[in-house]
Amino acid sequence: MSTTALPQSYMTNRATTTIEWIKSWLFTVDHKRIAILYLLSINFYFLLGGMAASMVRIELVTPQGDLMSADMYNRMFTLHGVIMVFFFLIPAVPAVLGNFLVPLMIGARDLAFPRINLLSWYLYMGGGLFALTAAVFGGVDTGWTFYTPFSSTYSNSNVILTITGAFIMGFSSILTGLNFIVTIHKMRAPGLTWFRLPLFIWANYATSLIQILATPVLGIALLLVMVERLWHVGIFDPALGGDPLLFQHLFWFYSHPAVYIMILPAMGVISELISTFSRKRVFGYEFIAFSSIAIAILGFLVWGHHMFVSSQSVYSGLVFSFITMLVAIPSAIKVFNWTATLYKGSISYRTPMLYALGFIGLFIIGGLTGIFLGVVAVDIHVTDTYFVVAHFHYVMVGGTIMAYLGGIHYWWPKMTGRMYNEVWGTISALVVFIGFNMTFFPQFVMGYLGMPRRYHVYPEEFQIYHVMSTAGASILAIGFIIPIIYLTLSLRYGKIAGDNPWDAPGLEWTTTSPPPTYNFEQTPIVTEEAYAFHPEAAHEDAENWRPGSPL
Amino acid sequence: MQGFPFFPEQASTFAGQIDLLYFFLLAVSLLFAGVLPFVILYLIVRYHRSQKVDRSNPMSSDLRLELTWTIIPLLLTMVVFFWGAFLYIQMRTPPKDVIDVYVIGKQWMWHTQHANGKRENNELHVPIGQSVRLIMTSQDVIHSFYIPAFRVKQDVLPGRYTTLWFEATKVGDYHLFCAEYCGTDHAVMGGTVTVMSLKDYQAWLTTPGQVIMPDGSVQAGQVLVNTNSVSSEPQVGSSLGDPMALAGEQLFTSLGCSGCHIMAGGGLGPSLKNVFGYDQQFTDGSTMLADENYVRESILNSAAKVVQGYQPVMPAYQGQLSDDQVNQLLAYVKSLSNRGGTAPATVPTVGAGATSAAATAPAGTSAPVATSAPLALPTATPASGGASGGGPFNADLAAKGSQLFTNLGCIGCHQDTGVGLGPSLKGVYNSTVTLSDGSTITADEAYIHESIVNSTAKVVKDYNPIMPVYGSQLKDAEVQQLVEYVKSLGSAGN
Repeated sequence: MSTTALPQSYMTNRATTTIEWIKSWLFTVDHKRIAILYLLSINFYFLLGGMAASMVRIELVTPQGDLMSADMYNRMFTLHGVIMVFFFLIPAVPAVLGNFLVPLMIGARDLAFPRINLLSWYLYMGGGLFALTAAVFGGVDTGWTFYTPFSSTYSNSNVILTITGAFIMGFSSILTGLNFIVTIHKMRAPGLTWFRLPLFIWANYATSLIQILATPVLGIALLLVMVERLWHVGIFDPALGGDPLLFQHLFWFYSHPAVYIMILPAMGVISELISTFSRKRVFGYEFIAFSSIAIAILGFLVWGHHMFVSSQSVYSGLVFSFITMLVAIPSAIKVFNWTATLYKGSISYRTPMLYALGFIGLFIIGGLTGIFLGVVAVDIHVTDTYFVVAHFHYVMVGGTIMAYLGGIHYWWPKMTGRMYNEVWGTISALVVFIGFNMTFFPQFVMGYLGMPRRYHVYPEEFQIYHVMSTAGASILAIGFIIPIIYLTLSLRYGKIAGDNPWDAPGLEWTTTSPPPTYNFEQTPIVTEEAYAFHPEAAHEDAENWRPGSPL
Repeated sequence: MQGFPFFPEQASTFAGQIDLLYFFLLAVSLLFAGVLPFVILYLIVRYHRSQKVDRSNPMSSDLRLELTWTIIPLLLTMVVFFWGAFLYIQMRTPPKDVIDVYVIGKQWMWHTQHANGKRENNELHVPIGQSVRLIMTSQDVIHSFYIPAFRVKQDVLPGRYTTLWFEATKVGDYHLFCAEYCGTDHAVMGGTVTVMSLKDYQAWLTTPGQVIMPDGSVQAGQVLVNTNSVSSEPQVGSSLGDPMALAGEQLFTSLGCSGCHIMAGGGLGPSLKNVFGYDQQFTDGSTMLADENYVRESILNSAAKVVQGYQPVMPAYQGQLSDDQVNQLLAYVKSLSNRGGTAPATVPTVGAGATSAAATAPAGTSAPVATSAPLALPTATPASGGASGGGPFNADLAAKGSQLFTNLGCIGCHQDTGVGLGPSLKGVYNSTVTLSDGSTITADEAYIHESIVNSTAKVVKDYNPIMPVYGSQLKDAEVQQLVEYVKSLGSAGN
């Protein structure tokens, strides 16, 4: 028995040569190492998508098309959309934080299928390679939505390559979802009942359900576009006997739930952060848990709200509008419960908490404008304008990225064993929040004024808003670059974190930082619920606060 | 940079109502977005760890609270849902008396045609205070017709019609955008919607202008008096050509539709009188309201829904008609129905000077074959081999050919009496036929065969090349039966 040996961190290994070291990463089946692989590759794609966004925003400073040709601009916003949606937002929280944390939070040795987990990453990279190849060889100009018959018949760009990329990436997503579901069902530590699970696990469980049920539909839809494009089989193009709306139905049947793939795990992160930094059990645990499931289920029934002006019948318009109203409720329930958690807590303003509070602020706006868009009569005016662009950036960027960054900061000490720089952390959270609002709030006004999206040139009266938006985007870009710098530096210069720097109750904090390859020396036995703060925890935390302690 | 616009202009009857709902949504949002962040701010300041405040008995759940913040938002969303739903139904229910304007979207321009035949590119002129309904289709990809000042938007799809209606309330020029991404020049696929007073509109409507046709050719504006009512090409020679219904009627005649669709009834195809806007019953027993899309499908893919009591004998015109021509046929079919909406003539005429040129110019040319000569349809019967005394023919095959001749609808045009759209076939076999290019030919078996499988190759003098090409639709054996039947009708010298 070697129980007395020092636990070896998952980061270190016995490799003696560079080749071996590289192999030890590329052929790893350790969920934590795979999470790091995802972290690096996903951030690479984020930077790439961000660069495309910068080009788009710079072009839009003037009403004329002076920086890029129309075709170039169309390829640029498509690149931005495809990369950000398929290669950043969808995998961001589940593949990085989920991969790292799901086994740790439930006291497991690894995910249920470690090799499939590695396969997921290779599929992700393979899909990314196709998308990148498409971009390098001239790009694609269909928009990330690939609407037919433009994509299947009329576009003269690398549609097939890009679609293949998204298709392959879809399998990565399906396999990850499958892995999580089996793991959460079968590998919880003894005593860890469903209602003792951290809300992050509930959120990832709900996400996984969507991933395995909806992603195949996208795969089919994209495959059909390829078939029509290659062999002119009439599926979507009416000139060949197809139906162009069929694609939109199939596409949004996936892509609306996909929005919840992006936001649900982010909400899970927020529940963790709010609880830890209030030093309190999260308020209304069951309501938050079931609201995740409710969102996952209702999310499958609202795809038609993307198609209110597509020539859908009045009746389907009304039904989809009605269900869309319902899906707003579980989201509202979460926000209210997070707010109530703060009451009588002991709040600290650490970086993850600032990101979490920023998330709530932005998500309130993103969620409420979602109701505007769900009301058909209003949607008719604002759909396909910057109002929609602003709305989904508030949800996807304001929601998912704020939570992703908050989560990265919160679990950084666990992942790396080091603390990041708190001052720079605070600055980055504030800069991102301000830059984000400056970028996207003007777009609501511009959208209601009637500025259509995907316009390379535009009437002069909208310029003032585009200039504001681009100015905000520059600030936002700085806000994203700062963390990359200080987080990287912290790997070398950061303080040693210790096992539980936040004094948080989760299982992941009971093992060492960074955790050993096998996660736990002994399988933990769970006897209490998640967020099992002592009733006096908040009180004691406040009593122990002295001037000079962290805020 | 141009000022600091904050709110879009309101120029339609919908604009005010939608803005009101929008303001209500804003107010409700402020209730949450304006209050909740301050509650959060208050809590994070008051309960910051540096504050010595009462933290005893923290709650971790409360059913009454949960119910409160579930039910109140639910009620509020239901209010906006029903409000929005009523408004939406109204926006999708055009009034009875509307001005129809036909819109064709293509990469990257809008083409519009008014009922009196006037055409526009990337512009749309509408009168104030009149309901206007756009009947739209696309020639290529999906576009979207968007007028922000009217708060209306509707995707325009290839292969079907979508519609949109509004009533403008304020004279002026407004943006017209394409709102659905459609390729390279999506951003410049737009133009201006001009709202005019009734008087100006009337004057504008009757003034020709230069336009680019949907097929890309440029047409200078001049008032053309329609000279040839029987032509395979519709008269689209000017921006102010024939009224659409009239152009459609001419097309209807020249394509030979009128041979079967006899308005008095009794034709091989149903009468089209009072079809549009009424329920149609089909051979499979189902019924459907005959709307724009039904008419379109029945022309382009006629076998999709066959009216009860009729045979699926009509040729499919998919690929043979432009969207422009289908629009005109539709306008004609609508004009035959008392539910087909109103013609532009019902736009109140203001001032005697504004008499529509379109209403007067082509009036004399509109004698339609279809209605002027209700034709008794004979049943095709092969003359017996003995009675004809002509060349020998296979009576068996000829009988089958006779059946086919009726079923295919040939009989509708090739009338024995010689008044049909196609020549009478009586005594054609072995006769000398004069063709449209002036040459003559002996109508032997090979000629008859060719005239069936490739009808436009040799067209008989005084007739138009309107017969469908049956080469790909008939089996060799069937063509042979038809040939035998034609032979059975007697030959020259009898």
